Amino acid sequence: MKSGRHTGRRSARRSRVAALVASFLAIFTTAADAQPPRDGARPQRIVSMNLCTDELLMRIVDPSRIASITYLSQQAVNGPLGLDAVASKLKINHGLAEEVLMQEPDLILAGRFTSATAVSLLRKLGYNIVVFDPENTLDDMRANIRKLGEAVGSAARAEEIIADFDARLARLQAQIPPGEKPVFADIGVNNFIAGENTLYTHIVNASGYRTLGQALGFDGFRNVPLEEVLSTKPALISTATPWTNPPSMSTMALRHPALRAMVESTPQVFIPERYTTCGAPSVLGAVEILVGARKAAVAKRRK
Amino acid sequence: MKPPLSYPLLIAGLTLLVGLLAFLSMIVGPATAGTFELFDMMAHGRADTAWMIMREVRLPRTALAMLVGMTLGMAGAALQGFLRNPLADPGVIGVSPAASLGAVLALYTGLSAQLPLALPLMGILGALLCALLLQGLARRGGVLTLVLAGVAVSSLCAALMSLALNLSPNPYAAAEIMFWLMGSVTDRSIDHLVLAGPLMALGWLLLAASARSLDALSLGEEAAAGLGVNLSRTRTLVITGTAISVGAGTAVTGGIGFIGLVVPHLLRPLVGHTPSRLLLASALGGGALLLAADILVRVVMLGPELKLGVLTALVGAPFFLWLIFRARTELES
Repeated sequence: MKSGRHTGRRSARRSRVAALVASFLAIFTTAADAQPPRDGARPQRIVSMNLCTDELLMRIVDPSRIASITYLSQQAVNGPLGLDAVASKLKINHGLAEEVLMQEPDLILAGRFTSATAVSLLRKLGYNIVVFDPENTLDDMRANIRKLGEAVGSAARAEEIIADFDARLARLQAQIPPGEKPVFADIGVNNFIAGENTLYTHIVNASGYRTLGQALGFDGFRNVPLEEVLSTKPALISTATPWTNPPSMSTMALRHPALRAMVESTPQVFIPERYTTCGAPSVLGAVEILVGARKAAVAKRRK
Repeated sequence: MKPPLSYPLLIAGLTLLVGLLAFLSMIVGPATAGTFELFDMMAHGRADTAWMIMREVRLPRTALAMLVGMTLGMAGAALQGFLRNPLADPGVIGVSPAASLGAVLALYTGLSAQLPLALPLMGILGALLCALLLQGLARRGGVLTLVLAGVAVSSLCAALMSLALNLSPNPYAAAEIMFWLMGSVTDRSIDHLVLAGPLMALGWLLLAASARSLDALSLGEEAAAGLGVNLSRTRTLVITGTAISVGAGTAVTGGIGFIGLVVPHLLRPLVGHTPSRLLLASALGGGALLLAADILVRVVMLGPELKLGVLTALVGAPFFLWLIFRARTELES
C-alpha cells in the first residue's frame, strides 16, 4: 500500500515535469512551424542500409524523402507490416558503398552490424551517417524511433508513432486473460531459442507468454539440445519458422520424430519472421497472434 | 622441357592481361547499381560524384584485388618451391588462418567497431605471430616439421574462429564474422590500401630474394647445400615474406582461397618448371585471376553480392581437379 502511494506521488511529479517539458517543446515546435518550411535543413535524400531502419524510416518520413531502402524490405519474408505498397515503389540498395554514393544521399542510416566496411568508407568520405544498435527491448525500439525522428528532422512524427504503438499495444494487452504466463516454445532453426534479454522474449512477454528460454533460465539466444526441449511442457508451440521454406539443414531438427508427440499434443501458431526481426511497430503483428492464441486457449478450457 | 613461349613474352602477356583487367575493374560497376552507370552520370552533369566513386571506391578495390592476388600467387609459388610440395599454399602453413583469426578477434571483441583499422592491424599481428611460431619450430626440424606445424596452426586457428562464432553474443555479430571470413575487396578504402600495400611490397622483396635458392632447391636439399645455399636463410625469407605479404593481404580482404594453390600449377609448365621464374609469373597470374573474379562478382548479382573468397573456391576447386586429372593422364600415358 505504502509503496503504491509512493509511486503514485512520484508519477504525479513525473507527469508534472512531463507537462512542463511538453509546453517547452510546444514553444519550440510552434516557433519552428511559424517559419516557412526550409527544406534544406531537413534531409531530403535519405538512404537506409539496414532492414530495421528501413521500417522506421518508412513510417516516419514521406516516401519522397527516401532515396533508397535495402532490398530486404521488398522481400515477402522481411517486408514490414503494412508497408509493402510503400516499399515496392522505393529504390533499393544492397549495402554497397557504390550504390549509395550514386544515390547522392544527404543522410545515411545504418545498423551497427551491417555493411560495416561500406559504412566506414562512407564515413571517411564525409557523409552524414547515423548508426543504430539492434533493439533488445521495446524501450530500445522507442529510443531508436526517437533517434531516427531527430536525425531526419521529424521528431514530432516519431513521438506520434510511439504513442500510436503504445496505444495499440495497450489495446491488445487489455485482452490478455489474467493468470500466470504460460510457456510459448518457439523452436527456431537449429533449436535456436530466445532467453532473457532478447527482443524476442520481450515481445513474447508483452503478449502474455514466457519463452522456453526463460523457462529453462538462460540469457540471450542459445542452441538448446533436443532432449532439453523435450523435457519441457509448453502451452503453445511454433515450429514452422518461415525459414522452413526454402528448406535448410538447420530446420531439419524440427522434423525430428521425438518432437512429433509434443507438436501433435500442443496448440500451434505461426509467427512470420518479419514481426520479430526488428524492434519496430511490426512487432504488433506478433503480439496480436500470441494474444489471440492465449484467448483461444482460455475459451477452449471453458468449453 | 621447353616452354611453349619465351619467358619475356609470357611476362609481357601476363602484364598486359593484368592491365586490361584492372582497366575493366575500374569501369565495371555492380550490376545492381548499373554496370556502366558512372558514364551516364558523367554525361548528365553529375561528374563530381562519378569521379569520386572512381577514386574512392573503385581504385582501392581494384588495387587491392590486384595486389592481394599477386601476393597470393607469388607466395604460393615460393612455398611450393621451398617445400617441394605441390599442395603448399599460404593457408596450409597457417598464415592466412592466423591473419583471419586476428581479424575475427577484432570483430568479436568489438574493437573494430571502435576503430575500423583495428581489424587489419590485428590480422597482420596474427600472421606475424604465426610466422614467429613456425620459425621457432622449424629451426629444429626440417621441411616436414614446418608443413605439419603449419597444418596444426591452421586447425587451431580454425577452431578458435569457430569458438568466437560459437560464443558470439548475438546472431548479427556472428553473421558479420561469417561474412568477413568469406573474403571480399568490396568497399575497402584508400586507408586499407595504404596500410596493406607497403607491407605486401616488403613481403614480395623477401620472397624475391629467395628466388635463386629456390632454383637450387629444386635439385634437392643436399644438392642445394652443395651449391652453397643457406637453407635456414631461405626458410626465413620464404616464411617471413609470406607472413608479411599474405598476412597484410588477408587482414584487409578476409580469406581468399585457391589462388595461391592453383596459379603456380597453372603457370609452372609455361616457365619451364623454373621456380625463380615462376615467382613473377605466378604473381601476375594471381593478380589477373583475382581481378577477374572481382569483376565477375559484380556482374553476377544474385541478391546480395557474392563473396570473392566463395567465388575463387567455387571456380578454383573444380579447376584444380581438372589439373590433377590432366597431370595424371600425362604421367600415366
